[in-house]
Amino acid sequence: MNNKLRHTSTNIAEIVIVVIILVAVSLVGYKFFHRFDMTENKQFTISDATKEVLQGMDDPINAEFFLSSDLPPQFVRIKDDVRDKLDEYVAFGRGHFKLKVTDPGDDLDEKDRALKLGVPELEINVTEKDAITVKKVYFGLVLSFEDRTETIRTDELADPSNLEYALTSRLVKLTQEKKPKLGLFIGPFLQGQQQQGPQYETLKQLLGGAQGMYEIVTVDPQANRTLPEDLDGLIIAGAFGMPDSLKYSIDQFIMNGGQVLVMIDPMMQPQQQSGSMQQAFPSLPTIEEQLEKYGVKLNKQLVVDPSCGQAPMSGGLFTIIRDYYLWPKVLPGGFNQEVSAVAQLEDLVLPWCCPLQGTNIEGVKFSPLASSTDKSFTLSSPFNLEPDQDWPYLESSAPAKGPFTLVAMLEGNLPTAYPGGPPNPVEPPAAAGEETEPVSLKPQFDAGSQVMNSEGQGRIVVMTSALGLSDGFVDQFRQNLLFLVNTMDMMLLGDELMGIRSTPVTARPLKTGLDEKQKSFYRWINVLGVPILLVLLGLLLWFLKGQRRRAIARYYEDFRG
Amino acid sequence: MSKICAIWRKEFSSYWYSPIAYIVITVFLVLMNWLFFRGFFLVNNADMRMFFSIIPWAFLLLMPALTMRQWAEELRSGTIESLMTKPVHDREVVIGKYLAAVAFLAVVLVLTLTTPLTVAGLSENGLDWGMVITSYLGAFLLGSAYLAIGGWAGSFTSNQIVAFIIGVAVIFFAIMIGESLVTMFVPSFMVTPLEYLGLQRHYLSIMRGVIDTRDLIYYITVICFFLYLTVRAVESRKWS
Repeated sequence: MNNKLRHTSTNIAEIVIVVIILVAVSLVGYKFFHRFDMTENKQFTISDATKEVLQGMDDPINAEFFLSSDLPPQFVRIKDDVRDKLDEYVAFGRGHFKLKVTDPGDDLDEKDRALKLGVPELEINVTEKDAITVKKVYFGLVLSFEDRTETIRTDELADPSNLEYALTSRLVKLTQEKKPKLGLFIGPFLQGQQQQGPQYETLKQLLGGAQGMYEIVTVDPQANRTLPEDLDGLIIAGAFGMPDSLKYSIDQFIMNGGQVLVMIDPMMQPQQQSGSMQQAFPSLPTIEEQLEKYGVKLNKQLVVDPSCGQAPMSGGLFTIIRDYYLWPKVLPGGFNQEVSAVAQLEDLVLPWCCPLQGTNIEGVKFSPLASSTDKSFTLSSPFNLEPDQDWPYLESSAPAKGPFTLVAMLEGNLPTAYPGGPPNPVEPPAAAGEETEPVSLKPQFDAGSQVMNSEGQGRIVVMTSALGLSDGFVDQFRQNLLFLVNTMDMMLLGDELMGIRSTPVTARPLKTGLDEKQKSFYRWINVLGVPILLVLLGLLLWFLKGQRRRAIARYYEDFRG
Repeated sequence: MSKICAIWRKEFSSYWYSPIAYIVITVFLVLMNWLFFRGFFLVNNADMRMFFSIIPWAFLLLMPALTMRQWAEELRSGTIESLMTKPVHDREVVIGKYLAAVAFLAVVLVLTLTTPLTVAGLSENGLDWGMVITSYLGAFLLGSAYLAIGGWAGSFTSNQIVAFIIGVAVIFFAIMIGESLVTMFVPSFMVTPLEYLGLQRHYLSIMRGVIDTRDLIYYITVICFFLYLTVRAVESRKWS
């Protein structure tokens, strides 16, 4: 009895020691771990950029995945992809990224809460047994941090190749302490003409409104001879009327790491007259020469593309909506699939745009972001804007054929456009009839403090249509706003987002043309094939064993006999 | 080492002379493939995820069925006495028996290879073999952990049915402890440790195609711990 008691107590002590050792090993392993992504496309390798964002979080982010349990088959794969990606965030979040899965089911309160958070109930058509039924499901993700929330839409979740970008950009947005300052320069439309220029109120509201992530600062060419201080980014919507001092200021802004989206219309808008449209001419040069020195050139010929947006055309009493080849529409294949900000876009309509060319500046990387289709071609000046033209003939005589780069990004070591120093100050024009006294023209800029190279910091995105983001057009082409938001997020919400490239996802559909007989064959050969072979093997072994047993029995009988 | 090999050889061959092994494998293969191919053509995607997601539940019944006779048979027939009096260490007996069961598990997994081969053949763009290989590794580690737990649960009783039931119950508990069905009812500070302890979560992580050293350490820890407990349980028979 004493012996047993002694053994029991020794045993318990030993077990406790073993448990402590194993817990210690687990804790060390938990802290210092490594992951090997064995998938073909490195599907679960989240970028260093995302890891940095996750590791930099001081307070927890709560992710709530609204997910119905009875999803239709087409959602099963997507659900797995999203869960897998979220699990990676949880793994690298080290307790700061908490995931909760909620199925609102029939709970009205939960349904109401999901709706308030921006996750509506979706109606999905499901084909089952040759009948189409409508299934109501929840499939949305809400990230919350302190009192702020960000909702990731179903279409974003359904694109696993860009899910990381969608998630990380939201994380960066949520955890930002202050809004980045974004300058907005809107060039006067046509100086001296009465015609009202394009408005950009939707753009302002989207980026700088209550839900916007930026603080918008308007840059007025009359009031601002230089850029306001503390800007993080700048949007130039038409550079007409921009003074040289402001151009130099923009140059130095870029050299100091500023992010600039330049939108330039390659064509002067003709004055509208009743009846048909008129001829138009290339726009006057504004900031083009400066852009050329950074590494991009605008070839001011209009792009004609059969893949195009629809335009309202006046046809007597009626207005007809029809395809307009001079409003090229960038299709999914036209977006740079390596840049997450644009890779997921479905289209982008750029009215009266022109091709962009890289000018091969050493150290500058020219990346096309959006391109026209290979069926596109260019139209020379003077531009005939008529919707009905002999397009096949024009194509055959076109100066250049597509695809053309319509939006491009410049990054790397951008050189200053003012290698000879700042521009000389210009005397303000005198009013008519007014006598002017000579003024001393003091230099506005200190040549000694001029920065000559961006050293990999500044970045420029050039888009050859400012009209494409104006109020009238974005009302019709909502997808253009997505381009704007994604581009600005990419440029301003930290360089970390630039490190997130699209992850290609290989679709693996089954071979087409399999009939029911073939399907049944593959099904049953797998269900029964190996088990039948195994049973036969077992019978063979059993038979051999029996034979051996009988042979031994015979041997002993012979021996006894 | 040679003693472990001798025990391993004897145990492994004994599996193949018992009808239970064939019944278990046949039921396992039929069940797995039937469940997998039921929805495979409907989803129209060459993905093995569904197949591997059934494994934890199929193994829940399969592994205790393999281990239930490991000790119970020895105890029932009295051969444990002669085994323990032989010049072998208890841990050599435990490891030899365990490795035989693990080898049997490896054979079972090899027999399922026809499924990914079929799926790859039916796919337009082949199969993500990286994911398949890690899933097999995960299934092997999960099955090995089940075997260690099942072996320990069976070392207390001479009744195979009781050994099977205890094995299933303990493994089921070890699975469920990390599932949200359980963790949703515990205080928040306990959620992460419980999730870490759950047997299935680590398998699901490997199954995605990611080998995480934490998952490997977890399974090795579980296997070592339950083998140690089995050695202790076997040793305790000598005390009385």
